[in-house]
Amino acid sequence: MLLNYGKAPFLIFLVAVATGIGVLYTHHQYEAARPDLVLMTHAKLHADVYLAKLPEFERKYGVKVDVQVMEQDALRTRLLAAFAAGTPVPDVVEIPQDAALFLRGPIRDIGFLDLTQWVKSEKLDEKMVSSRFSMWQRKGVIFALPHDVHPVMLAYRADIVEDQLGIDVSKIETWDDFTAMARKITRYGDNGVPARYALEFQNDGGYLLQALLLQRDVGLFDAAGNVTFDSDVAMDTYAWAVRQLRGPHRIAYSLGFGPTLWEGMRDGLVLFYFTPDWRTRTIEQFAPELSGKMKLMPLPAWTRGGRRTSTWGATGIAATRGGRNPELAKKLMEFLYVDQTDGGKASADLHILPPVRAAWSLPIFDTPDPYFRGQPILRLYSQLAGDVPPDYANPFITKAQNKRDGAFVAACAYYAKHGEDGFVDFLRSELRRDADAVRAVIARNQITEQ
Amino acid sequence: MTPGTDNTAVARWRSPTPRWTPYLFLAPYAAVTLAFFAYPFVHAIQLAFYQTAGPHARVWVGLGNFKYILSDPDFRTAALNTAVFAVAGTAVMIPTSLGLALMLNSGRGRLKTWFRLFFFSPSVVGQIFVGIIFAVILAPDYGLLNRLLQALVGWGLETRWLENSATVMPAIIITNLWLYAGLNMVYFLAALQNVDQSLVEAARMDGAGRWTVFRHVTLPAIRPVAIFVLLISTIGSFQLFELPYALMRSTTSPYGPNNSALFIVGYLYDAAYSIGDLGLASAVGWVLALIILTVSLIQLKVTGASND
Repeated sequence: MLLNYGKAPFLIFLVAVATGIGVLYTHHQYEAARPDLVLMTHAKLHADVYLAKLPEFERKYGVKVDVQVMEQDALRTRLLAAFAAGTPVPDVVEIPQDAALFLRGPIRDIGFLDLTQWVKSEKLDEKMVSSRFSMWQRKGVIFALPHDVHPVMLAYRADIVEDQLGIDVSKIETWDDFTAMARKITRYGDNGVPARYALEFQNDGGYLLQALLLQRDVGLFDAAGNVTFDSDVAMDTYAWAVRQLRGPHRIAYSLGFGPTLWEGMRDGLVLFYFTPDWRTRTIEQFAPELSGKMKLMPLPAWTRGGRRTSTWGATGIAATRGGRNPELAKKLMEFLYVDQTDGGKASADLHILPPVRAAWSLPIFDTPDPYFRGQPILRLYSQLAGDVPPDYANPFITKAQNKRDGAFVAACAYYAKHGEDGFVDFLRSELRRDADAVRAVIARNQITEQ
Repeated sequence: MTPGTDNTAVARWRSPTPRWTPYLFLAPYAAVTLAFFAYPFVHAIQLAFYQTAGPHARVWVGLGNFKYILSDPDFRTAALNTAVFAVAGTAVMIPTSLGLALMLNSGRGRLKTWFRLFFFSPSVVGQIFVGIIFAVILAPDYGLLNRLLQALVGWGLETRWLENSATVMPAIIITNLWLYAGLNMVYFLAALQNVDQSLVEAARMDGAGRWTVFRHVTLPAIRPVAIFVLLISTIGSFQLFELPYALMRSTTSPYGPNNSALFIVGYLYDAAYSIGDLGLASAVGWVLALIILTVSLIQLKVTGASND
């Protein structure tokens, strides 16, 4: 009958039928070979380490775990869409800090399992750095385990700072000390002499400004969810950063991220870099020729005897409500994030200090790193980890980041044009306006948060 | 019963192509259209009148989303940026594409094919790729452009094209031009090759110069294509998102310093994935659709294409 329409429609019909059969067959094959758990992560490095560790878990529980990697933004948007549409989701998901958007809406609607009871009964909040749970909870309900602590230090070109310039960094205790030293070694590239800046800093503030603010216990939000980035302490920190970046005695320079960062680091254009534990691995990977030329030092404090670290970045692991085996998912999360029967090898491979306090005494963290002139880098980070400030989750974090960075850029532009004249008032009004804009967004959305 | 009627009935009964067969063939298309166009279309209209939070919670807000959008300074910035990009981008795009097409149309030999490929190839790789490449080209200190400026005029090594709100828009317009000028050139080239050569020769025999021939013969002949390019360039400009997002991400926030790279679709994305309000995002989508429709109708009216 179909042949009466000619060969082409008949062929299209055959292709349609064949495609349908193919889709059904593939789906059947996938279902037949479906693993017991699917773990999805945004970090390829994490996946590589987990793949090496997972056979032990699979043997122990007689199950099969599939690890999938997805780019961070794609993971966020697809998972949000899947939660809304009720389509299949992975059983266990690693989520970055800016994915706090998952925590929007009524608690009962959030797509992740409520882990509060389990965390308390297993005493995980005591075993791990409790402040790190702040990023994955809302209204007291815990939705994820923290993967890391991410204390921040300064990595510096020891071959230039110590060998050439003869600076003893152990004498630098405060940011004032640092600034005084930095002004002596910074040069602006006049008269054919190559430029050299002491401190890496982003032109829009971004992560580095956030690290400075957190060092002073000012996050974007406080524990109660109030916007705090226009407080007096925040404003003082902003003003300091703007002056270091745009002032007549500027010491800071933005290399951006990516190839320009590594070129600038290799050329010695910038000497000191904000470096959480995870970034040591990235530096080793992208600037291998600097092996033996870099070292780490604690962040200078804001006041003598004050906090010598901050935090930058966070990853958490959560189990989805739509997962098929929640209990097995919890076991997997505990195995990957809490269990250290591998002697901390997985953490050491990632250069990421685990949030499990007991693990910090593991001997593997004393291993000297030749790249950093033999410093036991994870030991250095572990000595600072207990002092890492909390950073509170909020569904509106991306909005707040954009506003805060916008205010910083405006302040930089103002300072470059007018200097100190009216700068503080301008900064205050910008911060207040942008913080109020975030408050307005939050207030407008309270209606659906009940 | 007439013999004819009888024959028709029999023929219909024995027809190898029953009446439902065409519907069978149309069914897959209809199903796809209903599922992926009609349903989302209706749902988006409905959603624009709600405020949403999380996967399921929603509250009826009537025209609240539209009122919020129109009163939000960020939306006004996004709308202004989009309008500036649409006007300036198109004003640069059309003459450049036409110029390239005229150049290639008048050229001869094998080089012409290579040049055509050369100019067209950027449009094959897509906005994300071009955004990333230009982020590296425009980078301070180590970017190709700044190194070139330093070598040629001894200035510009530290210029921050993507971190200064005054230079962000020109950077995006130039990147967009590099990406799409070749594609639009192909449209113009096809139109130029269809210009009636007998008219051109007649004009020349009457003493018309090159400019007169272009103005009074070539331009009227390629007018429908020019209007088409103008329309798709303008619509594309209003839908701009991936290019500035990829371009800006490696340097500052994705929306640039002082929101100088925030466009309407970026605002929409922000509403959906920073605020998490799909209702607000739907409302932005409808406002954008309305803007595009209005601008397109104005263009058709002004260019006289609606009378053709």
